[in-house]
Amino acid sequence: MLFSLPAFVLDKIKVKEIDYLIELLTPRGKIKALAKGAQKSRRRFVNLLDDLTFIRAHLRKPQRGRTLILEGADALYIPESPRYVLKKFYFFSYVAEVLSYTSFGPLNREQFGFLVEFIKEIDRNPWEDIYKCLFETRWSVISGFAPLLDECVKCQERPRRLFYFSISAGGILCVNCKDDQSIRLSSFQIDLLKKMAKIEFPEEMSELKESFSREEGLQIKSLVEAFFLYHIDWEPRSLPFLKSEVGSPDNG
Amino acid sequence: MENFYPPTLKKLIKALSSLPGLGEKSAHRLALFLISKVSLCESLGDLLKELPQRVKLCRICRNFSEDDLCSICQDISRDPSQLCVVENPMNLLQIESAGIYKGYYYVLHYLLAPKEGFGHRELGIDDLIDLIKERSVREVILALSPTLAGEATSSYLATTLENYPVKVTKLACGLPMGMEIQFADYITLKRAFMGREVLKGGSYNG
Ligand SMILES: [Zn+2]
Ligand SMILES: [Zn+2]
Repeated sequence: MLFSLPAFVLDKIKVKEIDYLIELLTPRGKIKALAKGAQKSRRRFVNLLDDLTFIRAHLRKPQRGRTLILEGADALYIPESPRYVLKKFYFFSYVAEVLSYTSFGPLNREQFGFLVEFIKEIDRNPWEDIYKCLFETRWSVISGFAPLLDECVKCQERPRRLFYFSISAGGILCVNCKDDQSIRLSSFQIDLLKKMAKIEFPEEMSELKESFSREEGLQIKSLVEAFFLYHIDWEPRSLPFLKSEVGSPDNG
Repeated sequence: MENFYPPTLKKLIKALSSLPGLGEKSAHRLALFLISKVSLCESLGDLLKELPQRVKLCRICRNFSEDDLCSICQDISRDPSQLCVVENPMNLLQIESAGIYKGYYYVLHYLLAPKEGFGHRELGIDDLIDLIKERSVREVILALSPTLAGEATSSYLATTLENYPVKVTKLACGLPMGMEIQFADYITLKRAFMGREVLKGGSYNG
């Protein structure tokens, strides 16, 4: 049975001397498919099996065995800037690694669509450090562990002026429930977190850029990263490289 | 069935199957083949034992070598103004055997691979820069494969070399020889257009 799906390439692993096992992110969730002969003759797949390349994957269910076969692929979007800008190369590796490692089910149209637009937006524009923060926020929403920001995680009370954020509790705590590890946040910061979680189109990010240039915004960036890493419970290998570049001037 | 094999044979199969690209079945087949080849086993054994002691990296270019300097670095008839950066000794050999280049080389051994824990600091660029200064290199030719990792590495090297008085070039990229245009994807086509060859200048030569 042959079928086609739009897909992002997340990873490729060499199998035997000639094949690649490709991991794809599709609207149906993640799938693995064998690209036969792709190590030797790259003609069918040339330029299409790198991280976060967006393809239309032509897949076949084999009669025997369970691994899908990637019969062919058409380019839908090939990000070019990671070839020239080190930060973007590291960021795309980071995104691919996170998507490959974290588990999640099928993505709805908006979620998959967001990812498509997000990748294009980053590829076409100069690098912004908030891309990383936005990805971490959006991905925690999609994976279902986004922080609760409206009411205290413990007593459901709605704080008005004093907000304490607890990474391990998964959201805000009120003044009565706060513990040693919770971090005091301003209502500006809570607002920023809420806005980021709601972004549907990557263009909306530009409105938040100004907020992130303030000290309070910078604090949110590291908080989001800490929250994200705590809840995926693993440190991506590409993260230290990305962090060593983020904040330094563009090299592209 | 393998349970009935003698321990040495079992160990050999296990060792062989740890080699890249060899599955259990191929390892099994190789091991059984070797049993009857006494002299091959002996010479293979000797070679394998000597390998790590004998074959090292050339002190200058990091190509494989049994001496302190490889045969290319020892060859003084080469052009010292050009330095070609390659990913691995296999690619070096490919360029060498084409007989089209007479400068020296520098072997990276790795490309940027952040997911494998390999970033720009691990590339060992300081040695490359020392070499450029020492040899008064005028042109650095980046001959890395035009894959995502290869190009990202080339871009990083070009940026790093920005402040040194060397010309940095990269191998041309575009339509492969013998390919029909209808099969080229847009990145390849774009590159082919960007890197077009001038066959004749704009003025009329009558
Ligand atoms: Zn409470
Ligand atoms: Zn050498």
